[in-house]
Amino acid sequence: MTGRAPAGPPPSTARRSTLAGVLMGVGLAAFLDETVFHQLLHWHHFYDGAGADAGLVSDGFFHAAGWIAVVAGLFLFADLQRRGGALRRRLVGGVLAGWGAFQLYDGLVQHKLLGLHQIRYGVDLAAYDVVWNTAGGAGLVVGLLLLARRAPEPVR
Amino acid sequence: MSQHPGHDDVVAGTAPLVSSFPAALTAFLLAAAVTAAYLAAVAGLRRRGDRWPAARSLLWGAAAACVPLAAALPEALGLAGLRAHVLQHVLLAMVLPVAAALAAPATLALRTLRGRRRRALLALLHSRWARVVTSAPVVVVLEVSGFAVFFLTPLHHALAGRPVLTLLVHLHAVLAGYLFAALLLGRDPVRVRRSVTTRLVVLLLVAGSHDTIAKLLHASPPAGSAPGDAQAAARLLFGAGTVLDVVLAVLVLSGWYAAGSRQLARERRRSAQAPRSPKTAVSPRAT
Repeated sequence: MTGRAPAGPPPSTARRSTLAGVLMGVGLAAFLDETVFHQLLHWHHFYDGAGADAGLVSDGFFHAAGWIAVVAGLFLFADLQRRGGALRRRLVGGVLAGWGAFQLYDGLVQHKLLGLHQIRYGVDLAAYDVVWNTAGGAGLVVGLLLLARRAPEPVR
Repeated sequence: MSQHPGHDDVVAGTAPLVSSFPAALTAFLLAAAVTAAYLAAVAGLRRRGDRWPAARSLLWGAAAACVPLAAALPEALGLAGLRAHVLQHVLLAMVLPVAAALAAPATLALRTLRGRRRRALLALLHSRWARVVTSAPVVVVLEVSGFAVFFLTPLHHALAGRPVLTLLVHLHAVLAGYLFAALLLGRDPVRVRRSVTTRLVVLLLVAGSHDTIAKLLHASPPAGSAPGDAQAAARLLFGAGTVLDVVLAVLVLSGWYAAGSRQLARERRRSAQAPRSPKTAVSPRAT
């Protein structure tokens, strides 16, 4: 048989699966931050009177980026599914890396460096900060490891 | 008698921009006129057998309705100060332009105008000036500068008692908003369609600036605003901005998804036809 064998998913599928995962991960982090910590627990504050204006700029853009990312990620995922399916390992790796990176950025740059707002008020922050940033770091590392693992050779 | 804004608001310099009865009546007549013009054009299209989605007429009506609503609603709800400004901003600069861009007025005009007027509109759309004003960086600057100056400088103080300036500020907001929405939605032929990535970046820049300005308004209220007013206004601005951000992202990406559906359908038709179409052609291996 010299006919063309099905050559597995096209190369753009891998890239798009990673992108969909990262976008959904960033969106997930922003969504959890917004609904769980701001709206449900009321741990975070809309504005706590501390921090520089740079923090507010960062906060404003990450809020907008989070929502755009979740919408774009879901549409990209739907597009991959109708074209034969997203690559699961890349998708999961992307979600973990995107979520972890956003969580770390929020925890280290926004909370600590820019002093934007804290995880919770009226408590000893150290434990909260450690859990917050360790979780984010772990997500980022596991996600990147999954993305870096060599894909199995396409069967010819 | 309707209750006029109290003296406190006037002293604070943040009385509603358009709150008098004549202003509301003018706004209503303006909305009725543009709705009638749009419906007349659609009726003309239908008479000659063209189709025009009814949803677009509804959207145009909703966009037009924002004008009298912005004139009357703040006072009817008893809102004054910055909260009234934000409500007007949401109606005129956010809801109106998006609904108007979805109603595709330029497309409708190009289909119904004849002769000199049509050539004039085409000349305007193809002019160098239009190319500059509809380029992505200019659209972002026009849109962001509008609400940044409005909420972060004493401009809204200067508007009290200056109807012409007020009108110009609102006109800028409506037109800049329309250019922004037209760029994102790509339904009106204002310019060549931009890629999804460009459109999402434009959305991110505008939505991010909008959220930032809401936070800045919360953090440092303009001098002379009533206590708590700027904070309530900022939350309203932030919340409305978030909702519109999501709506616009969904509109941009659903357009992209639909274009993908059409492409997939074409590919499937082609591959379904391929094996049986060239009956005369003989494959090399069969000979």
